[in-house]
Amino acid sequence: MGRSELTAPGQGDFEQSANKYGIREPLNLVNAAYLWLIGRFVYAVWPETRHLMPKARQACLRRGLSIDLLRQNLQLLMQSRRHLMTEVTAQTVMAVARNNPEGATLLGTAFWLGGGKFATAAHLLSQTDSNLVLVVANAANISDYQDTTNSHVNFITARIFKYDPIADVAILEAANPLTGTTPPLLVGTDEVGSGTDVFSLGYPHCGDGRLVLTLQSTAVGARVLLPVGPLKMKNLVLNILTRPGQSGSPVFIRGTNKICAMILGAYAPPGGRIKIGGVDPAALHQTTHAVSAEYIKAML
Amino acid sequence: MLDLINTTNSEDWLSTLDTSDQNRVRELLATGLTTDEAADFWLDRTGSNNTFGFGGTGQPSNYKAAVEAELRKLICGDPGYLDLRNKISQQWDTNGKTLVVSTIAIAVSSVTGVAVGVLTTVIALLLATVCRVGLNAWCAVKA
Repeated sequence: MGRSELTAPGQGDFEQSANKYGIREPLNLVNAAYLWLIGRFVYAVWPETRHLMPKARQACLRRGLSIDLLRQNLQLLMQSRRHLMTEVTAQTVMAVARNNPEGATLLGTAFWLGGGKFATAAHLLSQTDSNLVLVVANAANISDYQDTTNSHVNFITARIFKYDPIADVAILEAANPLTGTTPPLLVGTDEVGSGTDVFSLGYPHCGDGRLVLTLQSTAVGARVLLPVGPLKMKNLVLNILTRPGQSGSPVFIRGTNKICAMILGAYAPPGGRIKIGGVDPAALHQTTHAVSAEYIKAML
Repeated sequence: MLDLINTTNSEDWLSTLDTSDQNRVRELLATGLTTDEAADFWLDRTGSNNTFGFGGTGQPSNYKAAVEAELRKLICGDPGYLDLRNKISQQWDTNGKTLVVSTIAIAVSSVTGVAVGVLTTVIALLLATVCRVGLNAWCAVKA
C-alpha cells in the first residue's frame, strides 16, 4: 500500500517559497499590497474615489515601500503563489495502472477530487476495474528530479465508482481516502475562451513504462462540441501535442486551482487507423481534445 | 422474483439510477434510442469518434451479449441463480429496486468481469427493456 497522506503548505512553506523568489518582508508586504490593490480597484471602477489613491500611496510609503518596489514585489509574490499552488496540486495527480503479477502496467493519468475520489478517462479502463491501482509519483515535488531508473512504485487499489462513456469520464474510488489539502475546484469549459492560458499535469509516455509527472503549458485554441453518437459534448481544443498516457490529465486555468477540462486525446481525422512504431501518424499534431470538467462535477 | 418484475414498469428501473446517470440515460432516450439500444451504446464505446484516446489498452469489446446472457439466466429461471432470485425477492420489499439493481450488477460482474460501476446503468436499462416488452416475451425471444 502506498502513501495516502498528502500535506498542505503551511506558512513556513510560503515564506520559504517567497524567499526563493527574492521577496523582502513578505508578511508586511502582503498588507501593503492588498491596500494598494484595493485602491487601484476602487479607482478603476469608481473614478470619483481617486482622492483615496494618495492615501493608499501614503500607507505604502509609511511602510517604507515605494510604489515601484511594491509593484515589482507584488509580481514576484503572485509568481511565488502560482508556483506553490502548482507544487501542491501536482501531489494530487497520479497514474492509473493495472497491477499484474509481472508488474504494474501504466494506463494513463488520474487526479484527485477530494476524499477517496479520482477522475480519469473512461477509455483507459476497458470497462473493468480488475487489479486497478493508482500509482503515486516518484517525486514528492514536481520540481524535484524524478528518477527514471526507479522502477519501484507505491500504489493504492481503486475501483470504478461512476462511469460515463458518453463524456468519456470515470470516477475512481481509492481504498484509502487522501486528506490534508484542499482539492482543486472543478469548473468547466464555459469559464475559458480561446487564448486562455492553461496548463496540464500528467504522465506522457506512461504506456511505455515511463512514470514522469510532467507539466505542460499552453493556451485554449477553441471550444468545440464533439459528436458522441446522437449527443454532443463540450470539449476544448488545446494547442499542444500530447502523447499516450496523458488521457485523464487535469487542465488547470493558469494561476488558479480551477480545473476546466480533462485531456482525452488527439483529434482523429476520419478514416482508418494505422500505427507505425506504435504511433498513429494521424494523431501527431497539436490539436488535443479535453472534455469539460463540468461532466466530472455532475458525477460527484 | 419473476412475478415481481411483471409488477414494475420501465420508469421504475430508470429511477433507480442516481441523478447524473439518469440524466445521461434520459438524454440518450430523448434522441429516439430504445432502452435496449441505450444499453448497447453504454457498453459499445467511450467518447467521440473524433478523438484518438491517449492511454489504456485499446477500445474494449462490447460485452452486452455476455451481460444479457447472464441476466437472462437470472430472471428467466435458470436453476443456477435460484439462491440469488430468492435473495432478491426478500430484498424487494425491504430495500427497494435500487438494491435489486446493485445485487444483479454484482452477480453479473462476477461472471463477465465488467465493473459494477459500469454495469449498474446497463442492468437498469435492460430491466426497463424487460418491462417494456414483457418478461415472458423477453425470455422467449432471447432464449
